[in-house]
Amino acid sequence: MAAMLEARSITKRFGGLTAVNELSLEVRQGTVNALIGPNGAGKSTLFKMLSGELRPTSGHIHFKDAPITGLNATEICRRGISKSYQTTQIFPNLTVSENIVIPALAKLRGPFRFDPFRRLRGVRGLADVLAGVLRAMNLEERAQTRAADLAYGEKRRLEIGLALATQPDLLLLDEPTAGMSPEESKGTVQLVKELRKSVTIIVVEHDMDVVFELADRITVMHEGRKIAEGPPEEIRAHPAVQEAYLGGAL
Amino acid sequence: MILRAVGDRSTWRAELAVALFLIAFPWIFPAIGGYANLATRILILGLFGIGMDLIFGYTGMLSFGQAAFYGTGGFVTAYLLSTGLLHNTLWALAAGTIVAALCGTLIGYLCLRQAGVYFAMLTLAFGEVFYFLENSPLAKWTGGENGLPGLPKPEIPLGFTTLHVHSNLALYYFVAVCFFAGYWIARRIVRSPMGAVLRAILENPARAAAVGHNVPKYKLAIFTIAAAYAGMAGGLLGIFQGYMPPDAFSIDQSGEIIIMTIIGGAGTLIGPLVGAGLWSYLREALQNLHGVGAFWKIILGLTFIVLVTLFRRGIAGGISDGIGLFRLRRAPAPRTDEGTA
Repeated sequence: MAAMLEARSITKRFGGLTAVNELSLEVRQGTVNALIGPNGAGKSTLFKMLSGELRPTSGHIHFKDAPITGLNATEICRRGISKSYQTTQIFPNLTVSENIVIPALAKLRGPFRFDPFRRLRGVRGLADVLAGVLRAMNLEERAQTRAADLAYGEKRRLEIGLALATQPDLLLLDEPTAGMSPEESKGTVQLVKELRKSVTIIVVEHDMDVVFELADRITVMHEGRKIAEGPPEEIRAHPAVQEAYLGGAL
Repeated sequence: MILRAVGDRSTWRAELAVALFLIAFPWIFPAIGGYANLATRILILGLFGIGMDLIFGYTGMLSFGQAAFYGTGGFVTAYLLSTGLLHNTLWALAAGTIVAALCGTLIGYLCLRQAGVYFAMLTLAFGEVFYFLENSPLAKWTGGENGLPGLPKPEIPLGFTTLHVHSNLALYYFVAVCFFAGYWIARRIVRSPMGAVLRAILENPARAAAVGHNVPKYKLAIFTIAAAYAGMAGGLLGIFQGYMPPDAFSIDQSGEIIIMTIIGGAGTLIGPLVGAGLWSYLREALQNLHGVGAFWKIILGLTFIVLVTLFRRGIAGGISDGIGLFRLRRAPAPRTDEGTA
C-alpha cells in the first residue's frame, strides 16, 4: 500500500538555523504515528510545513498522490490535513457548538460562499457533524458553554474537536495532552484511540507513556534530523534514541 | 434540534420590536423635545452604522474611512436626482448604493492586504483621498465645497400610483422603511453560515483560515456590504435634506460613526441607532440649553467616557445582556483583527 503522506527530504532554514534538515517521512493510512525528540528537534517546524503554516526551504510533500508543497493552511485543510494546536486556538466567545460549526462549515460549504440569506439548518449535514464531534470529544454536556469558560482539559478536547470537524483524512495533533492532569491525559488518550478507527494520525507528544500506548510507528528527531524510526519496541531499544532523547532512562 | 444550540432559531422578536419602535418613534420623541427631522437624521446614521457594525462588531475590522462610501452614495444619488437624469428616487438611491458598494470592493481589495492598525490607517488614507476628489477634481459634478443642492422631494412610482413624499413625517417613514429593510437584511446576514464565519474571523482569524475558510474573501464581501449600507445612508441624507453636503466625506463623519457604534453597542446591529440617537439628541439638547450651549462638546465627551466605561458592550449590549432580546453574541468589547492573530 502506498503512503498517504510522503515528505521527501524537506528542509527548513531560518536564516543560519536549519530547523529541519533533509527529513523524509512516510505515513500510511489508518496508522498512528508519533513524532518525538528533545525540545528544538524540529518537530513543530515539521508539523507547520505539513499543515501549510510554513513553506519548506527545499524538498517535496505529497499527500494522497498529489503535491502539496507550499500550499497555504487553508488549501492544505481543504485537501484533508487538519492540525490541532499545541497552544489552544479556539474561538473563545463562541459556544462549544458554535466553535465546532465553524470548521464543519468550511468542509460542507467550501472555502468561500456568499450565502447571506441562508440559515444554518440549510447547510446539509451540519447537525450530523456537530453531533458527531461533540460525542467524539465527550463535550456533549458542554455544548452550550462559552468556550472561554471551559476547564483546561475541555478546551484541549475542543481544540482537537475543531481539527476533527473539518473531517480530515490526516489529523496532526501537536501535544494533545500538554499541561493536562494525569486523569485528563488518560481520557484524551482514550479519545485518540477511538479516533484512529476513522482517521490517520500524526502526534507530537512529550509524554512517553502516551506515545508508546498510542503509536504504531515512532519517528525520533534530533537537531532537525531523523535519527530513528520504527515500531515502539524497536525505538525503546534503539541505542541512538536512548542517547539523544531518553537519556538512557528507559 | 441540535442546531438550536448555535442560535439557528427563527426569532422575529427583535425585528418586531424594531418595527414597532420605528412606527412609534416620531410620536413619542417630541415628549423629550425631539422632532421628526431629528428622528430621520438618527435613522440615517443608524443605517450607516449597521454597515460599520457588520465590519467592526461582527468581523473585527476597524475602518476609519467609511465616510468615503457615505459620501459616494450620497453624491451619486444627489447628482442623478438634481440633474434630472433620474426621476424615480428609488432608482437613484439604488444607483448610489451600488456605486458605493463597488468603491467598497475596490478600496477593500487594496486595504485588506493589511490587518489591524495598518488596515485602519489605509482606510483613513482612502477616506481622505475621496474627500479630496469630491472637493477638487470632481467639483464640476459634486459642486466642490458647496455640495449639491436642489434635490427634489422623493417621487416613488408604484405602478398604479406615484407616492409623493413631502411632509417631514412622510420623509421619516420613507427612511424608516429603508432602515428596517437594512436591519432585516443585516439580521439575516449575521445569522447565516456566512455570518458564523465572520464571527469566527472576529474571534480568531488565523484559526478560521486554518480550518479551511478563505478569510480575505469573506472580509472583502462584508466590507463591500458595509460600503453599500454607507452608500444607501448617504443617498438618503441627500434626499432627506434636499441638499448633499460635502462634509459627508469628512474624517469627522468616519469618526462619529465609529463612536456611535461603540457607544450604542458593537455586535448588536441596533447599537449604532442607539448611539446615533443619543449623540444627535444630546447635541441638540445641550446646544439649546441656556448657559451650557458653548460647552456642549465637553459634556458630550464626558458622557461618552462614562458610558464606555460603564457598558463594555455599549448601551444596546448592556440592555440586551439584561433582557436577552437582541442577543446574538456574548462577546466583550470587540477588537481589531490583530487581537488574536
